[in-house]
Amino acid sequence: MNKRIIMIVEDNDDDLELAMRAFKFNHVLNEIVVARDGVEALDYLFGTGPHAGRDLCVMPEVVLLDLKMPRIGGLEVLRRVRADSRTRYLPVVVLTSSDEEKDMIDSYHYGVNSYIRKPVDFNQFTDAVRQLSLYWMVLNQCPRNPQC
Amino acid sequence: MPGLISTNLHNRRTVFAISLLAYVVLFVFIGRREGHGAILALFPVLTVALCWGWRAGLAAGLCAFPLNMLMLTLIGLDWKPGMLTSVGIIGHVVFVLLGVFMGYIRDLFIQRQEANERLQEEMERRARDMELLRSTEMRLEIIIRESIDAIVITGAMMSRITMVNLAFLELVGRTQDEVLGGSVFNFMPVADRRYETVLGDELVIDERVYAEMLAKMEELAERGRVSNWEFYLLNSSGLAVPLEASAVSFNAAQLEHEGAVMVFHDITHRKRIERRLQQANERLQLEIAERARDFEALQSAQERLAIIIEQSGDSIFISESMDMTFQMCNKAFCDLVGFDRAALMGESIFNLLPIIGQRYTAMMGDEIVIDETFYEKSRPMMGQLQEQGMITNWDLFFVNRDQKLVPVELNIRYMYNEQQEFVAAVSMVRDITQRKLFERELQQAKDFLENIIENSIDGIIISDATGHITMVNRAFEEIIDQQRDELFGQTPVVFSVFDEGHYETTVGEHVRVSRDYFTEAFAAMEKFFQDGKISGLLFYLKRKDGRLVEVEDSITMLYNRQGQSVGSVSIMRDITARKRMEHVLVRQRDQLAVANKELESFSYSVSHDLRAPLRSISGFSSALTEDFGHVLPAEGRRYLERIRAASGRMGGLIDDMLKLSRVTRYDMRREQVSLSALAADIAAQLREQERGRDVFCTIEPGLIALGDAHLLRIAVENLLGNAWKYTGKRPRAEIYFGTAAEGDAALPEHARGAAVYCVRDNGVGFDMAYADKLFGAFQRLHAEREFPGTGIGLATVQRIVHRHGGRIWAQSAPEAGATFYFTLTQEGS
Repeated sequence: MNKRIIMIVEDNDDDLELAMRAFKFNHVLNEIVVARDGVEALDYLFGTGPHAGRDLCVMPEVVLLDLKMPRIGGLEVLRRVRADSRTRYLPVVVLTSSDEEKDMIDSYHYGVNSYIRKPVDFNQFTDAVRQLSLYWMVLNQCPRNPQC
Repeated sequence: MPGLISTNLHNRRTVFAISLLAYVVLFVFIGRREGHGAILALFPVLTVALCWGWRAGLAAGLCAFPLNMLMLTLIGLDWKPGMLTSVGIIGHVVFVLLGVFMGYIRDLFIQRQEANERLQEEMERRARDMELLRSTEMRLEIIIRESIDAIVITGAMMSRITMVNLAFLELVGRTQDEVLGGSVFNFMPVADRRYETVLGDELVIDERVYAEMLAKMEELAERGRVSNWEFYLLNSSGLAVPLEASAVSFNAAQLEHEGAVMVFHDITHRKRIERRLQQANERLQLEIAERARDFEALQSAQERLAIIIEQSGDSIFISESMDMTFQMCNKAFCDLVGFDRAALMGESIFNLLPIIGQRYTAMMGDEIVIDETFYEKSRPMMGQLQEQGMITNWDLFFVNRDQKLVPVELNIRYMYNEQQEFVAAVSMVRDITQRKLFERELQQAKDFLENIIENSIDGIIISDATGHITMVNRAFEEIIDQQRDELFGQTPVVFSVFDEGHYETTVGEHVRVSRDYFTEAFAAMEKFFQDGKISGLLFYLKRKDGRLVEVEDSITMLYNRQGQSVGSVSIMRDITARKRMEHVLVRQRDQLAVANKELESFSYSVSHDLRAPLRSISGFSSALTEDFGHVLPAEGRRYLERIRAASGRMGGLIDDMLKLSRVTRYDMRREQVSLSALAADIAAQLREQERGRDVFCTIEPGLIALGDAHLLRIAVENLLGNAWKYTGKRPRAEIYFGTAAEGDAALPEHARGAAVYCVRDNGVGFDMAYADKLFGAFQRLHAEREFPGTGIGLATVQRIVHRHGGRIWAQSAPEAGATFYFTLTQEGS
């Protein structure tokens, strides 16, 4: 199980590219799974749609989740992830432009592990990504899916 | 025989005549025979003896012989004395003896019979006497017992009372047992003592009185009776009662013992009357004397009366004729009309009345044109004067010498002498100018009040003590769309709602009037009757068109000076417009809520969507610099740097703007907040952020405010932060946080009475010309490069202060530092 995956759910191309750049910049070599909205994210996580038959024992170490997305938003994704026993303990970090308290409260209500506001400044953003990957990929410990 | 004996004289004569006649007749028939005739004489002799007694019998016996001789002769027998035989003689002697004997027997019998009769008569007489005596005694006893006068029957010398009547017992106030056997002396005043009589005066039994009493007692003993004896007995209260006594003494021969009957007649009443008469008499004497003096005084009184009339404050005018021409008047009258007596001579009092159609100025100052009604009103008064000889309280005008109308009250009275002949007419005239002025003032005050009531915006109803409407103003007419004439005398029932159901209101909505509405209304009215007033009462009135109008009503009971209810005044405000406004407000509130919602989603979009492109701009310009910086000229790299900086600044602007909007939407929670502690904490943070600066910060201790801790922190952060920032160029920055001094010239009028906080610094300050821009969002008074910032801070502070109900303002001059003042509560609250 050396395949440590980071999943990023982001509809904004610019933000996605900047994030990828930041990973690259910080020498993050893990596989990055990208979902462009909530539907794609759920398909991947539950092995449905285009991802049918996927080995569900392979789960990301962390999901970086944007809130405001077309079709299914980040909060709904979070709710479903937490409702499913397979993904109940999956580390999810909300990475969003919003600093609305309401969004923050709702996220924690549905069991987010961390809430991070995207800084406008790229340097700060890069720094944030660096710290994130370091923490979640290296330091954090998380229970495995018992069925795997 | 007894019948014969007892017969009366007339019968006896008849019996005698019959026997004599029988003798004569029988003698005629048998007298011729020897001796027969002579025996016949026995009839009359016995008859006489039995009828008249023995003396008559003797006489008849003696007469028998000659009678027989006479009869013999009459029947023709030649009789001779020689023919007289001894038998004949003896027979005749027997006749005499028989006559005497039978007569004697008869007398004895008669005597006994008479004695019997006498005895019987005597017994009957006795019986009658006894009867009489008994009834007399009973009557006497009744008389004695029931007599108003006190009666006492005593033994000798007024001692040992054997009988008394009720009057006596009442007089002395004792019972019969206490009195019987005692002496009258027991109830008589004693010599040499003083007593009070029932009349209230003093009685002294001195020697003279005592001697008089003894004399009377002697008189009773000697002459057997005494009367007009002035006597006193003591009643149960020890008061002496004046009496007139009569006494009769009786002796043992008549009534087996000696004693006296005493009758006491109470003369208290008489004495009293006598006394009154005497007093009346004395009074009469006094009165007569007084009259005499009065008569003497009359002359001077008449003079005095003239003076009194003359000096009287009321004007008096006296006429000796019915046309009321001048005879006499007093000074007051002359003053009233302004004419002297000479000018009034020959004038009637009626000549002082105004002329119809003429315009006068009245003493009250107003112009009056006299029309016919003035005299028409007076006509019944004149009639009354002629009929009843008097008029009282006749209000009219006199024209005085200056041709001014004087309002007067005229009283005229005709005077009559004892023969009911007219003597004079006396007119009392009173100047009522003052009263008229007062009445006018009163009327004006009344008009003023009525005017206020009439023109009040609120509907006003005034009702009497029985709840009937006496007054209604225009506003009320409009409220229920009804004329006041239809309401006078009615009760509020006519415009009240009494039926449950659905109604249309003037607001334009449909309401349901339920039982609860009536329950509430009745409860409110009950409270009103209990408290005497009620206000803020909301209820419906029914308009003429059937629609309901909701009013806010205040009802107050009206009382007179004695505290009795005389009615009530109800002030009603039509709240239709308010209701409509409320509806509009509710609509607007809903719209606002929608708008707010929209704003919220807008800010959300701003926070989310606006920042994303900024991040792209910033990120890619960084990427450009990093990846292609080496191929760009230095100027190009600088431009890229500026793009990055600008996007960073814009990010800050968006953040601040969101903060500002959050301040507005934030749910406030008021609590006690220590501003001093808050400020000290913030100052410490600032000091930490900018080490090496020499800032002298003074914070007034103990400042406690009521507000939201989170918001107040933001406000103080901004204010102290500004102070910190704008003193950045001072070698020694001075910052003060505390309350403004009372005498601070910068304190506006509106800040009086509220706690005014201030943040003062010795920084660069600003020009007051731009003070109005100070608190606007994105408004800055200094260049960004001099003092960085977004221009949102003070706008945020102002919003926080406003949300607390306070105000914020500033005082400054360029290079002279700045002071920001704020309050946190509405002034006066």
